[in-house]
Amino acid sequence: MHHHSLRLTLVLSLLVLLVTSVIGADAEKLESDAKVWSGLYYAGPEDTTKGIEPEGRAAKLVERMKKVEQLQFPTYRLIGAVSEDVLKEYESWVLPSEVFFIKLDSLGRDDEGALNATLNIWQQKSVLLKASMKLRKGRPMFVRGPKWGEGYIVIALLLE
Amino acid sequence: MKPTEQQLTQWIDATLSHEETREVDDWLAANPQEKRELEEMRAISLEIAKAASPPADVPAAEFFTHQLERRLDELDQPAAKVASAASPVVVPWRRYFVSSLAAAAIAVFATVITMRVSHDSGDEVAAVEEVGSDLTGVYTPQDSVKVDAFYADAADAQVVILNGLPEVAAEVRIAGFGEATQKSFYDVTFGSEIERMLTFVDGQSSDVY
Repeated sequence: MHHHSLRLTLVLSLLVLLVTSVIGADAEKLESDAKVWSGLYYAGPEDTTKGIEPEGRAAKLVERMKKVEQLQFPTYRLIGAVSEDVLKEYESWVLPSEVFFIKLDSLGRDDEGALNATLNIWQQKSVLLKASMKLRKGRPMFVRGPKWGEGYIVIALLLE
Repeated sequence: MKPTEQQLTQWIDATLSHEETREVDDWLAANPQEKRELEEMRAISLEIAKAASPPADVPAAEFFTHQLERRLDELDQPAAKVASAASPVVVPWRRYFVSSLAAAAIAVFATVITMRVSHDSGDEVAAVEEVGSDLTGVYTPQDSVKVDAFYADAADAQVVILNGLPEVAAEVRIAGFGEATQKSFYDVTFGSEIERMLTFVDGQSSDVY
């Protein structure tokens, strides 16, 4: 009985915390510099145990990846994909998976609308790559990461 | 004419102009006692400079932070293992204490490096690599990793190939978010966290925090 009331208190506290943080974020009305789509793929020999068959935009990007010699794999499987706002003067996390993710620190848009940002790619607690980048509309960025089984991890970034 | 103290000090540091060096050398040739003393001092100065030299290539401060974090993780791990047998909840006090200390060390380190680089080149902290026009200042904290970054004309895309990363075992499950799974980061992370907390409240968990 004691445990049940403790559980209830805990759940209610978490809900209150969640609601207040959502209201707080809305009140601040953080300004977005851009919206960035990111997809995490398995690329390698056929393996249906990993992810799903890419569709729509994720599939179109695979067609483009296959035009790059270093990214010519027989199969691409989509593990995760998200669109996130890249906030002005804030660090923004783009999280297509729980293991590999991206941090973007926006440096604003240039005259042509390209996003200037500092890119960090993380594998859990480790930074794999840090770079200053320009992400242009219609020109994605593909990153081939570590080997995963018989294939590779590939990350795609696209300015929406 | 006897060189000034300033010139002798500069001779020891080898920072005199060619002309002045020749003049001091001429004077030393006529004064062997002083020559011996100055040569000894120069030798000591060189040894000190060698011992105190910073590493030739100092990457960005984040590399230092990363190494420090990795070391902290290593330090925390054995303590956590020992403590888990005795108690279900362990406060990683050392992390908080050492983190504060580390933050101060990083601040000093970053200031020194920035001052050094600014003094040397009048520029900001140098990037490790410069590649392709859309990607500059690339660096990887892992020495074994080589970055190949280029613009792929056929795909109209910027491509980055990271060679030399440790392999992820085939059996490792990587949970994705969003379009592929219909699950958000919050579902997966907070969902499992809440479940774990509830289990803990029920007294069935021995998880270490």
